[in-house]
Amino acid sequence: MYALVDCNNFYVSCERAFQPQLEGKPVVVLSNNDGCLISRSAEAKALGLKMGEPYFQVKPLVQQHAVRMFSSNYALYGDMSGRVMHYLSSVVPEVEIYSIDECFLDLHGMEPYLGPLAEQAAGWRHEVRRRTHIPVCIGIAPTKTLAKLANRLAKKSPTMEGVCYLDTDGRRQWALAQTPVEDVWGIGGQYAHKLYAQGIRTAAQLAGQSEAWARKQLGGVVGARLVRELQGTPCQGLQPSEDGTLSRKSIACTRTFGQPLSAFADVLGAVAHFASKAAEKLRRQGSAANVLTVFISKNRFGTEPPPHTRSVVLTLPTGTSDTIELLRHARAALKRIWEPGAVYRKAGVVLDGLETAGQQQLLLFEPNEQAERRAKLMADLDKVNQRFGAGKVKFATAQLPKGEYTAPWAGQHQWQTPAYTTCWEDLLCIRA
Amino acid sequence: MVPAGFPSPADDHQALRLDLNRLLLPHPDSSYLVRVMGESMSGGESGIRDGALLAVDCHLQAQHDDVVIAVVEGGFTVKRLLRRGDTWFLVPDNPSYPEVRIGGEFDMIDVWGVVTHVVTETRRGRLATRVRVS
Repeated sequence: MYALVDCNNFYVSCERAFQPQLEGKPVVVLSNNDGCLISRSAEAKALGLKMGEPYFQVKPLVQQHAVRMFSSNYALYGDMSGRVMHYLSSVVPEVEIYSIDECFLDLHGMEPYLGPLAEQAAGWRHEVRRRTHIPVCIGIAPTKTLAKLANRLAKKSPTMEGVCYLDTDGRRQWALAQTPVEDVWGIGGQYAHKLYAQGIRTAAQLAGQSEAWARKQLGGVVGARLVRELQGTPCQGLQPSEDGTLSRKSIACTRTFGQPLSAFADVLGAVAHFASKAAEKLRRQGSAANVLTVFISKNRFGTEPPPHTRSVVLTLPTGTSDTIELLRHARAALKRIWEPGAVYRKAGVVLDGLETAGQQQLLLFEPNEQAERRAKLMADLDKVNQRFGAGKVKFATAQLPKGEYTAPWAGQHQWQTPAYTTCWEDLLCIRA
Repeated sequence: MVPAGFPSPADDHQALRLDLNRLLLPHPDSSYLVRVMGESMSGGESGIRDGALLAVDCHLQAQHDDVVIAVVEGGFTVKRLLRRGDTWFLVPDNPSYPEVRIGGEFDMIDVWGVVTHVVTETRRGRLATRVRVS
């Protein structure tokens, strides 16, 4: 059996943990730079506010219903996520942190030790709530795909009290019949469209297909696995990370600028900052990247015709986590897509093709000694920044222009709450 | 190279330095630090002065005579939780402040966490300079 534990409206719940007066009120959290809705309380959903809607479009609705709005506070969300995951890792031996607000637990053979799983899950849910004040839902099923589906049902129907356990074949069938095919984990909009055209509307109908059919219609072995998982045969195990944090298959660092930028140096500064950040993340999880993507975007709501985004994908000569190396390539990449005179709103750096550092193929002509020295330099850089604060030592390209305190590309966070748990000045203040 | 000097006699007895986190924040998932603003708990047994730093553990079950962070009318407050007969009260250590009657049914949702430690400065130091002004 697998369990999927998913935090309800995670960002909103984090805000509520430190502001109890928000309980029962419509609350939304906006994406970086206060762009779009990325988390909504049940009350906000009931008002018809949709995920991903730009703030300026929903402003009248938000004002009319006095919806409480917050800028995203990732320092807080990251810490609260860590607390939830820390507790869950203490109750079962193996967890896979799937995203900031959800994780899989491996429950194989655990029943004799834990007792009835549904009762256990109810207990975990209660404990997470007590320790972190974050409400979670838990789906338990024989496969990860079914656990995901069970979790969705636990969220949908309040009578289940946050736990849905598909322990029998009857319950599995019932759950499949309840679930529209587009809500199955791994079925995207494209496939859903295709399936509907063939008369397949529910997960139950999809589970009734043969493996050969799935192989042909749903993209080969991936589709065949998906159908088998729905039928109750596990095809994918847990992918636990070694250090208890999310091990990423790609690392992205993208941001909308606080103000439109048109100077190359400013955009380069932003790109260099993102690349440095991404490289730091890369080293923290002990990976090296083989592919570097840099993109820049213009205003997508403006009058200019598309394309609004230009990107360039570089295959690096060798897998690396070296900031110097990545910055050099990022600058070259940016030069290739830069249009003089254009006004940019957003940029990003994505590192792909990750592999374990130290396993990469060495270049024939690169002296090995230098690589070792550079790795040491990076390790020391990370240590200094860890000890004295993020970004204390950085590369000149990512440096702020002289005399400026905030970067020209830094985002706006008009409605950000304090970092209650990670900053001395921001601690929760309690009236006595 | 030959190291000069004598080896330290303490080398075999190296121990880890004491770590206050283990005392104040024993549970990484449920221990929190908060600051106090106000006088309703000062002068009493808890020793919670205005500006004190509190260590709070949220996984502890609140009991009679615990100092707790409670939610009253949507806002946080720090008070002593007392049971008199069948009724629960939130009582300030400072008698010049009013107490709050919770009622017969003791609803756990109202208690956010249990205060386990109080940190105050005897000399104006880093704690005093790190107060958020809002």
